[in-house]
Amino acid sequence: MSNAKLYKGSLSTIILKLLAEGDKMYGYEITQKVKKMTQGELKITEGALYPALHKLEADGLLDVEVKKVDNRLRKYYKLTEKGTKESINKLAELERFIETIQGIVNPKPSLG
Amino acid sequence: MKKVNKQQIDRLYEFTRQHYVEYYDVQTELVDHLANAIEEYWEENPDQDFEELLQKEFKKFGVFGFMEVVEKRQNAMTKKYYKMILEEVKCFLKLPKVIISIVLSWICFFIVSNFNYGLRILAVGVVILIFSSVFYSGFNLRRLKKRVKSGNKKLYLLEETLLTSGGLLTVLFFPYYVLNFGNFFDTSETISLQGQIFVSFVFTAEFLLLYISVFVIPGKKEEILKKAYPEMELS
Repeated sequence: MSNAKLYKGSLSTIILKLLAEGDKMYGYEITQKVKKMTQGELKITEGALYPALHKLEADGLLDVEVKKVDNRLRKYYKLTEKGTKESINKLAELERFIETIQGIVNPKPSLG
Repeated sequence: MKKVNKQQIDRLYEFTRQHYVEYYDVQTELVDHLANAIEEYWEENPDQDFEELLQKEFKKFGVFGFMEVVEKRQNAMTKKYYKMILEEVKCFLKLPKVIISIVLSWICFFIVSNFNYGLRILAVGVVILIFSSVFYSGFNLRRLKKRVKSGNKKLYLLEETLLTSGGLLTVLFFPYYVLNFGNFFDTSETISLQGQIFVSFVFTAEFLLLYISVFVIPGKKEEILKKAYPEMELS
Protein backbone atom coordinates (compact mmCIF):
# COMPACT_ATOMS: atom_id res chain seq x y z
CA MET A 1 0.00 0.00 0.00
CA SER A 2 1.45 3.29 -1.06
CA ASN A 3 -0.12 5.46 1.61
CA ALA A 4 0.84 3.20 4.50
CA LYS A 5 3.82 5.31 5.47
CA LEU A 6 1.78 8.50 5.35
CA TYR A 7 -0.79 7.47 7.87
CA LYS A 8 1.42 5.34 10.07
CA GLY A 9 2.17 8.15 12.49
CA SER A 10 -1.52 9.00 12.76
CA LEU A 11 -2.78 5.49 13.44
CA SER A 12 -3.14 5.93 17.18
CA THR A 13 -4.93 9.24 16.64
CA ILE A 14 -7.35 7.55 14.24
CA ILE A 15 -8.03 4.83 16.80
CA LEU A 16 -8.61 7.35 19.60
CA LYS A 17 -10.90 9.40 17.39
CA LEU A 18 -13.03 6.38 16.46
CA LEU A 19 -13.32 5.30 20.07
CA ALA A 20 -14.19 8.84 21.15
CA GLU A 21 -17.08 8.82 18.71
CA GLY A 22 -18.42 5.40 19.39
CA ASP A 23 -18.53 3.49 22.60
CA LYS A 24 -16.34 0.42 22.54
CA MET A 25 -14.90 -1.35 19.53
CA TYR A 26 -13.00 -4.51 18.72
CA GLY A 27 -9.99 -4.78 16.44
CA TYR A 28 -11.66 -6.06 13.32
CA GLU A 29 -14.46 -3.52 13.67
CA ILE A 30 -11.90 -0.70 13.65
CA THR A 31 -10.30 -1.88 10.41
CA GLN A 32 -13.71 -2.19 8.77
CA LYS A 33 -14.92 1.17 9.99
CA VAL A 34 -11.86 2.98 8.65
CA LYS A 35 -12.20 1.17 5.35
CA LYS A 36 -15.84 2.19 5.10
CA MET A 37 -15.32 5.80 6.16
CA THR A 38 -12.55 6.32 3.63
CA GLN A 39 -14.27 4.30 0.86
CA GLY A 40 -11.47 1.78 0.98
CA GLU A 41 -8.79 4.41 0.47
CA LEU A 42 -7.27 3.77 3.87
CA LYS A 43 -6.70 0.18 4.88
CA ILE A 44 -5.31 -0.38 8.33
CA THR A 45 -3.10 -3.42 8.25
CA GLU A 46 -3.60 -6.08 10.88
CA GLY A 47 0.09 -6.09 11.69
CA ALA A 48 -0.07 -2.40 12.59
CA LEU A 49 -3.46 -2.20 14.28
CA TYR A 50 -2.95 -4.60 17.16
CA PRO A 51 0.47 -3.30 18.19
CA ALA A 52 -1.01 0.22 18.19
CA LEU A 53 -3.96 -0.90 20.31
CA HIS A 54 -1.67 -2.70 22.74
CA LYS A 55 0.55 0.31 23.07
CA LEU A 56 -2.38 2.60 23.82
CA GLU A 57 -3.60 0.09 26.38
CA ALA A 58 -0.19 -0.07 28.08
CA ASP A 59 -0.10 3.73 28.16
CA GLY A 60 -3.34 3.68 30.11
CA LEU A 61 -5.36 5.35 27.34
CA LEU A 62 -7.53 2.32 26.63
CA ASP A 63 -9.35 -0.11 28.81
CA VAL A 64 -10.40 -3.61 27.78
CA GLU A 65 -13.59 -5.55 28.10
CA VAL A 66 -14.18 -9.11 26.99
CA LYS A 67 -17.49 -10.59 25.90
CA LYS A 68 -18.49 -13.95 24.63
CA VAL A 69 -19.91 -13.48 21.14
CA ASP A 70 -21.14 -16.46 19.12
CA ASN A 71 -18.75 -19.15 20.25
CA ARG A 72 -15.67 -17.07 20.81
CA LEU A 73 -14.28 -14.37 23.05
CA ARG A 74 -14.19 -10.82 21.78
CA LYS A 75 -11.97 -8.15 23.20
CA TYR A 76 -13.38 -4.64 23.17
CA TYR A 77 -11.41 -1.46 23.64
CA LYS A 78 -12.76 1.74 25.12
CA LEU A 79 -11.25 5.04 26.15
CA THR A 80 -10.19 5.65 29.71
CA GLU A 81 -10.53 9.11 31.20
CA LYS A 82 -6.92 9.77 30.32
CA GLY A 83 -7.61 8.45 26.83
CA THR A 84 -10.52 10.85 26.33
CA LYS A 85 -8.31 13.82 27.20
CA GLU A 86 -5.50 12.52 25.04
CA SER A 87 -7.81 12.02 22.06
CA ILE A 88 -8.67 15.74 22.13
CA ASN A 89 -4.99 16.73 22.24
CA LYS A 90 -3.99 14.28 19.56
CA LEU A 91 -6.76 15.39 17.23
CA ALA A 92 -5.81 19.04 17.62
CA GLU A 93 -2.22 18.03 16.90
CA LEU A 94 -3.24 16.15 13.78
CA GLU A 95 -5.36 19.04 12.55
CA ARG A 96 -2.46 21.42 12.96
CA PHE A 97 -0.26 18.98 11.08
CA ILE A 98 -2.76 18.73 8.23
CA GLU A 99 -2.86 22.54 7.99
CA THR A 100 0.92 22.70 7.90
CA ILE A 101 1.14 20.13 5.15
CA GLN A 102 -1.57 21.95 3.26
CA GLY A 103 0.56 25.08 3.48
CA ILE A 104 3.37 23.23 1.78
CA VAL A 105 1.35 21.33 -0.79
CA ASN A 106 -0.97 24.16 -1.59
CA PRO A 107 0.70 27.43 -0.61
CA LYS A 108 -1.51 30.50 -0.47
CA PRO A 109 -0.20 33.24 -2.72
CA SER A 110 1.46 35.86 -0.57
CA LEU A 111 0.36 39.46 -0.83
CA GLY A 112 3.72 41.14 -0.54
CA MET B 1 -25.30 -15.68 7.72
CA LYS B 2 -22.74 -18.47 7.93
CA LYS B 3 -20.74 -18.43 11.15
CA VAL B 4 -17.46 -19.98 12.20
CA ASN B 5 -18.32 -23.03 14.31
CA LYS B 6 -16.78 -24.34 17.51
CA GLN B 7 -14.43 -26.81 15.77
CA GLN B 8 -13.23 -24.09 13.46
CA ILE B 9 -12.56 -21.80 16.43
CA ASP B 10 -10.46 -24.58 17.94
CA ARG B 11 -8.65 -24.89 14.63
CA LEU B 12 -7.95 -21.12 14.70
CA TYR B 13 -6.45 -21.42 18.18
CA GLU B 14 -4.32 -24.29 16.93
CA PHE B 15 -3.30 -22.22 13.92
CA THR B 16 -2.09 -19.32 16.10
CA ARG B 17 -0.11 -21.78 18.25
CA GLN B 18 1.46 -23.25 15.12
CA HIS B 19 2.53 -19.74 14.21
CA TYR B 20 4.37 -19.16 17.47
CA VAL B 21 1.73 -17.40 19.50
CA GLU B 22 1.94 -19.12 22.87
CA TYR B 23 -0.03 -16.62 24.92
CA TYR B 24 -3.72 -17.24 25.27
CA ASP B 25 -4.61 -13.55 25.46
CA VAL B 26 -2.90 -12.81 22.16
CA GLN B 27 -4.33 -15.98 20.60
CA THR B 28 -7.86 -15.01 21.59
CA GLU B 29 -7.66 -11.61 19.96
CA LEU B 30 -6.22 -13.07 16.76
CA VAL B 31 -8.80 -15.87 16.66
CA ASP B 32 -11.66 -13.37 16.83
CA HIS B 33 -10.02 -11.28 14.13
CA LEU B 34 -9.53 -14.22 11.79
CA ALA B 35 -13.04 -15.50 12.45
CA ASN B 36 -14.54 -12.10 11.66
CA ALA B 37 -12.59 -11.86 8.44
CA ILE B 38 -13.61 -15.37 7.34
CA GLU B 39 -17.26 -14.65 8.10
CA GLU B 40 -17.06 -11.56 5.98
CA TYR B 41 -15.79 -13.57 3.02
CA TRP B 42 -18.65 -15.99 3.58
CA GLU B 43 -21.12 -13.15 3.42
CA GLU B 44 -20.16 -12.70 -0.23
CA ASN B 45 -19.87 -16.37 -0.98
CA PRO B 46 -20.72 -18.94 1.71
CA ASP B 47 -19.20 -21.80 -0.26
CA GLN B 48 -15.61 -20.66 0.12
CA ASP B 49 -13.31 -23.08 1.91
CA PHE B 50 -12.44 -22.29 5.55
CA GLU B 51 -8.77 -23.27 5.30
CA GLU B 52 -8.23 -21.33 2.09
CA LEU B 53 -9.74 -18.21 3.61
CA LEU B 54 -7.64 -18.63 6.73
CA GLN B 55 -4.45 -18.71 4.68
CA LYS B 56 -5.61 -15.72 2.67
CA GLU B 57 -6.28 -13.70 5.80
CA PHE B 58 -3.05 -14.79 7.47
CA LYS B 59 -1.07 -13.45 4.51
CA LYS B 60 -2.32 -9.97 5.36
CA PHE B 61 -0.22 -10.06 8.51
CA GLY B 62 2.91 -9.87 6.36
CA VAL B 63 6.04 -12.01 6.09
CA PHE B 64 6.57 -12.21 9.84
CA GLY B 65 3.04 -13.41 10.45
CA PHE B 66 1.89 -12.93 14.01
CA MET B 67 5.40 -12.45 15.32
CA GLU B 68 5.27 -8.69 15.24
CA VAL B 69 1.96 -8.62 17.05
CA VAL B 70 3.40 -10.86 19.78
CA GLU B 71 6.60 -8.87 20.04
CA LYS B 72 4.83 -5.53 20.31
CA ARG B 73 2.45 -7.02 22.83
CA GLN B 74 5.42 -8.14 24.90
CA ASN B 75 6.90 -4.65 24.78
CA ALA B 76 3.60 -3.14 25.81
CA MET B 77 3.27 -5.54 28.74
CA THR B 78 6.84 -4.93 29.89
CA LYS B 79 6.11 -1.21 29.81
CA LYS B 80 2.98 -1.78 31.84
CA TYR B 81 4.99 -3.83 34.32
CA TYR B 82 7.65 -1.15 34.76
CA LYS B 83 4.92 1.40 35.36
CA MET B 84 3.65 -0.78 38.21
CA ILE B 85 7.16 -0.99 39.62
CA LEU B 86 7.48 2.79 39.40
CA GLU B 87 4.23 3.26 41.29
CA GLU B 88 5.50 1.00 44.06
CA VAL B 89 8.84 2.80 44.16
CA LYS B 90 6.98 6.09 44.57
CA CYS B 91 5.28 4.63 47.65
CA PHE B 92 8.70 4.08 49.19
CA LEU B 93 9.51 7.76 48.71
CA LYS B 94 6.37 8.90 50.51
CA LEU B 95 5.20 8.54 54.08
CA PRO B 96 4.86 6.09 55.71
CA LYS B 97 7.05 3.75 53.65
CA VAL B 98 9.78 6.35 53.20
CA ILE B 99 10.78 5.51 56.77
CA ILE B 100 11.72 2.01 55.57
CA SER B 101 13.84 3.55 52.79
CA ILE B 102 15.59 5.88 55.23
CA VAL B 103 16.30 3.12 57.74
CA LEU B 104 17.55 0.85 54.97
CA SER B 105 19.87 3.54 53.60
CA TRP B 106 21.15 4.16 57.08
CA ILE B 107 21.86 0.45 57.62
CA CYS B 108 23.70 0.29 54.29
CA PHE B 109 25.70 3.38 55.19
CA PHE B 110 26.47 1.97 58.62
CA ILE B 111 27.80 -1.26 57.10
CA VAL B 112 29.84 0.52 54.42
CA SER B 113 31.35 3.07 56.80
CA ASN B 114 31.97 0.91 59.86
CA PHE B 115 33.27 -2.35 58.54
CA ASN B 116 36.44 -2.85 56.57
CA TYR B 117 34.70 -5.27 54.29
CA GLY B 118 31.35 -3.49 54.45
CA LEU B 119 31.09 -2.78 50.76
CA ARG B 120 32.07 -6.33 49.89
CA ILE B 121 29.48 -7.74 52.24
CA LEU B 122 26.75 -5.64 50.68
CA ALA B 123 27.85 -6.21 47.09
CA VAL B 124 28.08 -9.97 47.50
CA GLY B 125 24.86 -10.06 49.52
CA VAL B 126 22.92 -8.29 46.79
CA VAL B 127 24.39 -10.53 44.08
CA ILE B 128 23.32 -13.60 46.05
CA LEU B 129 19.83 -12.16 46.43
CA ILE B 130 19.59 -11.37 42.71
CA PHE B 131 20.73 -14.86 41.75
CA SER B 132 18.32 -16.47 44.20
CA SER B 133 15.50 -14.41 42.70
CA VAL B 134 16.50 -15.41 39.19
CA PHE B 135 16.44 -19.08 40.17
CA TYR B 136 13.19 -18.66 42.03
CA SER B 137 11.47 -17.02 39.06
CA GLY B 138 12.98 -19.57 36.68
CA PHE B 139 11.59 -22.35 38.85
CA ASN B 140 8.14 -20.77 38.95
CA LEU B 141 8.17 -20.16 35.21
CA ARG B 142 9.04 -23.79 34.52
CA ARG B 143 6.25 -24.93 36.79
CA LEU B 144 3.79 -22.63 35.02
CA LYS B 145 4.86 -23.82 31.56
CA LYS B 146 4.51 -27.41 32.66
CA ARG B 147 0.93 -26.77 33.73
CA VAL B 148 0.27 -25.00 30.44
CA LYS B 149 1.72 -27.92 28.50
CA SER B 150 -0.43 -30.43 30.31
CA GLY B 151 -3.47 -28.38 29.36
CA ASN B 152 -4.44 -27.44 32.92
CA LYS B 153 -3.69 -23.79 32.54
CA LYS B 154 -3.64 -21.05 29.95
CA LEU B 155 -0.56 -18.91 29.57
CA TYR B 156 -1.15 -15.19 29.79
CA LEU B 157 1.56 -12.84 28.67
CA LEU B 158 1.35 -10.52 31.65
CA GLU B 159 1.54 -13.46 34.02
CA GLU B 160 4.82 -14.49 32.43
CA THR B 161 6.08 -10.91 32.63
CA LEU B 162 5.26 -10.79 36.34
CA LEU B 163 7.01 -14.10 36.96
CA THR B 164 10.16 -13.10 35.14
CA SER B 165 10.08 -9.58 36.58
CA GLY B 166 10.08 -8.19 33.03
CA GLY B 167 13.86 -8.52 32.89
CA LEU B 168 14.30 -6.23 35.88
CA LEU B 169 16.62 -8.66 37.63
CA THR B 170 19.16 -8.26 34.84
CA VAL B 171 18.86 -4.51 35.14
CA LEU B 172 19.86 -4.82 38.80
CA PHE B 173 23.32 -5.95 37.74
CA PHE B 174 23.75 -2.67 35.92
CA PRO B 175 25.32 -0.71 38.82
CA TYR B 176 27.94 -3.43 39.07
CA TYR B 177 29.08 -2.71 35.53
CA VAL B 178 28.85 1.05 35.75
CA LEU B 179 30.52 1.47 39.11
CA ASN B 180 32.93 -1.34 38.40
CA PHE B 181 32.58 -2.71 41.90
CA GLY B 182 35.38 -5.14 41.22
CA ASN B 183 37.83 -2.28 41.59
CA PHE B 184 36.05 -0.99 44.66
CA PHE B 185 36.95 -4.19 46.42
CA ASP B 186 40.68 -3.51 46.45
CA THR B 187 40.32 -0.07 47.94
CA SER B 188 37.24 -0.53 50.03
CA GLU B 189 38.88 1.05 53.08
CA THR B 190 39.49 4.32 51.32
CA ILE B 191 36.11 5.28 49.88
CA SER B 192 35.33 8.92 50.47
CA LEU B 193 32.33 9.93 52.53
CA GLN B 194 30.44 10.99 49.40
CA GLY B 195 31.25 7.62 47.85
CA GLN B 196 29.94 5.83 50.93
CA ILE B 197 26.70 7.81 50.86
CA PHE B 198 26.30 7.16 47.14
CA VAL B 199 26.79 3.40 47.30
CA SER B 200 24.43 3.26 50.28
CA PHE B 201 21.70 4.75 48.12
CA VAL B 202 22.51 2.42 45.24
CA PHE B 203 22.22 -0.62 47.51
CA THR B 204 19.02 0.69 49.07
CA ALA B 205 17.53 1.03 45.59
CA GLU B 206 18.64 -2.51 44.73
CA PHE B 207 17.07 -3.95 47.87
CA LEU B 208 13.82 -2.10 47.32
CA LEU B 209 13.54 -3.10 43.65
CA LEU B 210 14.21 -6.72 44.55
CA TYR B 211 11.62 -6.62 47.30
CA ILE B 212 9.03 -5.00 45.01
CA SER B 213 9.58 -7.35 42.08
CA VAL B 214 9.81 -10.56 44.10
CA PHE B 215 7.25 -9.93 46.85
CA VAL B 216 5.05 -6.87 46.39
CA ILE B 217 3.95 -7.22 42.75
CA PRO B 218 3.60 -11.04 42.77
CA GLY B 219 1.50 -10.61 45.91
CA LYS B 220 -0.96 -8.57 43.87
CA LYS B 221 -0.85 -10.94 40.92
CA GLU B 222 -4.46 -12.07 40.97
CA GLU B 223 -5.77 -8.53 41.17
CA ILE B 224 -3.47 -7.32 38.38
CA LEU B 225 -4.32 -10.22 36.06
CA LYS B 226 -8.04 -9.93 36.65
CA LYS B 227 -7.95 -6.30 35.63
CA ALA B 228 -5.80 -6.90 32.56
CA TYR B 229 -7.66 -10.01 31.46
CA PRO B 230 -11.40 -9.85 32.04
CA GLU B 231 -11.64 -12.98 29.88
CA MET B 232 -10.09 -15.10 32.62
CA GLU B 233 -13.49 -15.36 34.22
CA LEU B 234 -15.22 -16.18 30.97
CA SER B 235 -12.96 -18.85 29.59
